Amino acid sequence: MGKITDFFKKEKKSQKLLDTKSVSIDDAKLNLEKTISDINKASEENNNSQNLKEENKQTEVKLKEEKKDYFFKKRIKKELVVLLLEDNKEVAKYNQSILKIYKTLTLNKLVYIIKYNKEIKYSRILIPDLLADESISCSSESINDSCLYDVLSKMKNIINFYLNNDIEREKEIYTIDSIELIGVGTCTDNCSMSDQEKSIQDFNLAISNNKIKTKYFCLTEKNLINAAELGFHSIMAMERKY
Amino acid sequence: MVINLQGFGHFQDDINNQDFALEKANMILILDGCSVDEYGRSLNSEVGTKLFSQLLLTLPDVENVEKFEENVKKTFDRLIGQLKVFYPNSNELEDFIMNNLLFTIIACFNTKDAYIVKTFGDGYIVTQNMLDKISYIRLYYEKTPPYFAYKYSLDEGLKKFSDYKFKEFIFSKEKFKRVGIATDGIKPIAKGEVKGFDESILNNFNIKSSEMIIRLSRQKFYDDISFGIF
Repeated sequence: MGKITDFFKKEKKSQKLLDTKSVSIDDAKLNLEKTISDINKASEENNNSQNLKEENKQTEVKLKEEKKDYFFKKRIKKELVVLLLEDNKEVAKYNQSILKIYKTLTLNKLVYIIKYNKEIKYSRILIPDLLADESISCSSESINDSCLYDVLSKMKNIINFYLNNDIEREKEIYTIDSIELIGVGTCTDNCSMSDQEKSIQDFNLAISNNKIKTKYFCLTEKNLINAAELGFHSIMAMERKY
Repeated sequence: MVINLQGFGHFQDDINNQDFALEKANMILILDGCSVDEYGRSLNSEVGTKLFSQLLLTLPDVENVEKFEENVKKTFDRLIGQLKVFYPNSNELEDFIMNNLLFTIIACFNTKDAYIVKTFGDGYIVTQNMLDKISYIRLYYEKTPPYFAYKYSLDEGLKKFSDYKFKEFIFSKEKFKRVGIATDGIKPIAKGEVKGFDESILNNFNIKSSEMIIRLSRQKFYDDISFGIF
């Protein structure tokens, strides 16, 4: 038989064991709670981060859209065709030929149309593909007035403006690297306010720039000499019967 | 001052220079020979241009602007009259005319008050205005220009040409400093594809340097080039 103290010792040990077991269960409970709370926190954080990502995505899209509008406009170099169109009854007879010339010479270029008879009408800068044929046609109702010298005297400012300024559109910015000036009509004048000599001088000065080419399509051969007198470089008649 | 060069295309295709250009004190004459007929057969129009111009020069009043049309007709009449001796058959004569005498005629006369250009067929008139701007006036009548020799043809389809006359363009010396003429071979210059030629005209038109400008861009010139200016 053992001593009574040994019994108590055993009793203490078992109690201790029991205590440690109970402690470890409590710890496990605590740990479990902790991990659950951690998981919850993590999932919350995860949710938050997903929300943030979505928010970020949305903002990125917004930024991209904004960039489209405000930051990344394409800069395109283009040739500008300035069409000087005498707008009267006599020229209207040649509307079909004018349209043909226009379609051939303005391919992949920008167009600026100046129509003149008693007064001058200016168009916006246009892209030829989007242009209705009617805007090129001359009116058969207007009488045979032509203020050619008034138009020529204004050419210097028009040429200088477009060579020195960009043209901004919704998605592009156009830089004009050269200008082709095409005249169509009788090349005569009967109602200008401008002085003839002065306007021819101004015009010749304006077209002295290397970036400018000039052409004139006369209705008939009768007018060819007028166009040469004004200084157009390349001149021909639309009527080709001998 | 005249220049006359073979086109690069003609050189490649083994076609002779069919233009002819000559200069007198007050007249420049340029003839542009027809290269191919309507069926695509190559013609010997260089024979006609050289023969006709030499015979025209034998006339005493060749530089007289008022008698020019008359002189051209007289030369053609005499030439074709002589050919009849060699080709008594009218069909053979017609063949010879069509093969050798089809060429456009452009002449420029320097008169007291004006430069007068007379043309029968296509080509270019080149002008320098008072503000030193060079212009190239194109005379163009689709792909089949009228030829003076058609007047001697028996072909029904060519009868309409018998009424055709020379066209006249008068350039006042008050408005133009210089006037010249050219064949349609100078098209690349007129289109602005050859740099320096306009400047050459403005600087008194040195023949050698002008020829050099053309030779440096010779691949752009298919047709023969003839050019003359007062």
